[in-house]
Amino acid sequence: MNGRPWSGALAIGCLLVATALVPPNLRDVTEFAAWIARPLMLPFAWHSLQEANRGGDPLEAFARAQNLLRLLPQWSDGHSAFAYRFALSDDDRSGTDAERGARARTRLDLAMAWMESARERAGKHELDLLQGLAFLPEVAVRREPALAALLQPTGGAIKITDAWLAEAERLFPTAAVREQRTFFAPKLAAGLLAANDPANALEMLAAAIARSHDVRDQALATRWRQRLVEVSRWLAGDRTIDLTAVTADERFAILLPFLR
Amino acid sequence: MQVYHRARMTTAISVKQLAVTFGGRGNQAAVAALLPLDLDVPTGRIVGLLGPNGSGKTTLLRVLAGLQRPTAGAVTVLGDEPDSAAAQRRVAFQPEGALPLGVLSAPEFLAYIGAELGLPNPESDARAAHWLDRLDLRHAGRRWVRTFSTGMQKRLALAAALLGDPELLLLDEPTAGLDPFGSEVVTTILRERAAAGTTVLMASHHLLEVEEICDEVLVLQNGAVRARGTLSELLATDSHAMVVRGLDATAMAGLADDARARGGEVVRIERPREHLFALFRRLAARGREGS
Amino acid sequence: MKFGLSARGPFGLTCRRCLHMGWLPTLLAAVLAFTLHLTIAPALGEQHAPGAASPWLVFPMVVASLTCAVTAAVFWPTFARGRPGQQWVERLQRGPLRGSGGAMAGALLAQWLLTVPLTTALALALGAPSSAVTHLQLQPEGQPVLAADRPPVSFTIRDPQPFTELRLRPLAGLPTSSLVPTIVEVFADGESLGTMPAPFAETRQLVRLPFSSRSMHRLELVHKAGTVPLVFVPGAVTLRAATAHWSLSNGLLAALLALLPSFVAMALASWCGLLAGLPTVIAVVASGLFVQTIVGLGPFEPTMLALMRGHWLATSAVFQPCAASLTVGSMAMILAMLLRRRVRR
Repeated sequence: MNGRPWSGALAIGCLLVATALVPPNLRDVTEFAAWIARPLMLPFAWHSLQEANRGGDPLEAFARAQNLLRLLPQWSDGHSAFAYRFALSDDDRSGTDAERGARARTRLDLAMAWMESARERAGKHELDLLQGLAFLPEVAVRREPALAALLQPTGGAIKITDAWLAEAERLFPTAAVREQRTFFAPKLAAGLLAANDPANALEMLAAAIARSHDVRDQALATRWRQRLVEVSRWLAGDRTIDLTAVTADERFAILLPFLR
Repeated sequence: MQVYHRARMTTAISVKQLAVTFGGRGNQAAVAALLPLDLDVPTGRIVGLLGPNGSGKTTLLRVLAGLQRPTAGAVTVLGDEPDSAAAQRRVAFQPEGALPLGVLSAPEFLAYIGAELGLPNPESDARAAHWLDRLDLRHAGRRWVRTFSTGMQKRLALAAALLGDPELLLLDEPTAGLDPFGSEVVTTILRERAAAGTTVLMASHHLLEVEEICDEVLVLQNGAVRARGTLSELLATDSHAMVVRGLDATAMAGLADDARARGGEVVRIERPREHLFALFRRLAARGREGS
Repeated sequence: MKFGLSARGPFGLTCRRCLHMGWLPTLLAAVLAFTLHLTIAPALGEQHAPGAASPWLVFPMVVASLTCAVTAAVFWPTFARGRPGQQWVERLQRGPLRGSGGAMAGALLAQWLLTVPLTTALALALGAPSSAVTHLQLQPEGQPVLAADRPPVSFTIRDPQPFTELRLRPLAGLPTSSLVPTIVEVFADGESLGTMPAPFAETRQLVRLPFSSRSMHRLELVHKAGTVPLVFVPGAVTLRAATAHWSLSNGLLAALLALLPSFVAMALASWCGLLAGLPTVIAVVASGLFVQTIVGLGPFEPTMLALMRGHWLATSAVFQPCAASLTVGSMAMILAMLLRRRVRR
């Protein structure tokens, strides 16, 4: 009798013991399968994406991009880039403002959902995705103004941006992330004022003034705080405030319509 | 099955100074498969082609079948060029080895052969049925040809060769791998065909079989003809032999002494026994009855 | 004795064999593709991008093509050197390809029969539109660049049918001065159809201009404003016709066009098979199909994309690569015929 049946049984036994000692989880198996498939599939996925960009519509290109990005789940820049590209595509400008707005809303929702789903596997690049999520609604509204009204029930694009920046700050409490949110205050205030919510705008500006103490460049923080105080006091009804410095600062340009 | 008697044509195969050489291009050494040879085979004869492996038997058959172009010389079969359309219809070639299209059944395979020979479908099917019966292949049913035993494949190959009712049969080892019954059926069929006017040229290593059915043999070695003639010409000797049956041991001893006294040689004295083939046939018949 | 044998020649026998060998792998591949399509579909909400589902159609199509082509090569003895019983067939088949041509035709018919359900039923199940519309790609008559200092880019339309939409997807050049997106006005037979709804600022930016159904003979694109030069390369200007065609006929045509890669692969294989054995021939078939289907060389990929996007194939641009493939395949066949005459003897 040769040793083959025994060696086969031994191999199966060892495999079972190994499986019992270190049970494989589905995620690892999937990751391993993806690791194998990636070099085989990537050229074709990329080629398909290019073909969609050449001859398909934005929805097809986005679908192809998703197929590509499934192979590269940690490529957060890619997720953001393709989601932005899709959300901001405006090949079909037919119909009324409301219809165009609805189409833009659908694109934005799909793009946001895709970026959000990518967070789970983005690892240390999740912050990039959070920042991308934060600013996409605002950019989309600029591209399609009819979208603004549709975002109003959720507080408007600016409010969405602040919510995502807050999430980024919670998960990645670094100075840079905090400063980003701090310097976003004028835009957020403008959004709240546009939504006819001056009380919240003032509250938010007060919070931003408090946060400005954490900014690393204190000289910059002092100037910034000074402008925020001036704007707050003006919005609170103090018309003695000299707004010359605020008006000259481009970062406050978005607030100027509410300071007249 | 109707057997067609041929209008007599004197020469079925005519070969003049035929030579075949392989290779010889570039650095490849040239190999002479056939040295210049002449051959005329009259119609209705069964000619055996003998010789060791590599002697040129298959090459000669391939040339006659139109599958190999000669390096030199002139060849006609039934008065036509071997690769002419007319010769291809009138000459059948049964090469050695496996059959093509092994995933077809025997009837399907013969239907393909019939279609390529230009036979009308009903006639092709009738002929196929006849040969399948005759060669004991009906029981194979829808089995794939490639699952057949060597003997079954050989018999089917012969059926395919005979399907077009050829005037010239070129057979390469037609009985190799056949059991004694199969060999007997094949030799019987070949004799019948020859009687009906078909010329048969068969290469074989079965010397007894060749001796039994061939009118003439051609012995090839290293591509050259070493011997040729009818069996009686080739096998004839000046001495005579006597076969005696029915004497008892004493009478046999006396006869042997007498033979020696006259200068003869007693080769063998044995008790008569049954031929192995007869035994084989009897056992097989008993087996069939039992089943 | 009646055998009821309908297939007797290389064409019928090979076709039957390919159908026998191909139906199960094709069915399994189609089921697997459809399952994968459902399980790993892109996240598009309630919207559908049928063009992006084309890989799920390509997969079973390739399986059917590969099965048929390889089956033909394995089944027919003269496809490769040294096959069992080759001498029988060499002697019986008088044609220049010794029956390989008939076997190829049989394999192609079998493939067509196997793939028609894919290009019709599976394509619809994957989301292909239920009707197909002509998407006429226009080539500029003169120079293809539209800029402030250039004359209009014009196109002649020989198709007299009515159209309902213009799609522009030009390449964008570097701005001539500070970036101002280019606005394009469209004229049909001298009459303005309007300005493209969005200005062009980036390359391959797709903008559609819908208009009420009308036929036209001449289309002109006029630069209205902007600093971004636009280049209208082939495929950059498309007119969408008003008339819809039955998707079934589109599917039948797609299955027919999908035969070309197999034809080319088998023609190349029959050529190689004169000097090479079966493994080499199968490798040639497989790699020939791979290059033409998965890699995208030839008409297969554009055909599948056009089918899934609902473009009417009879007027699409897929016939250009078809011509190239036909040429390659025919050349290989002719070479095989010529070489066979030399090699055989």
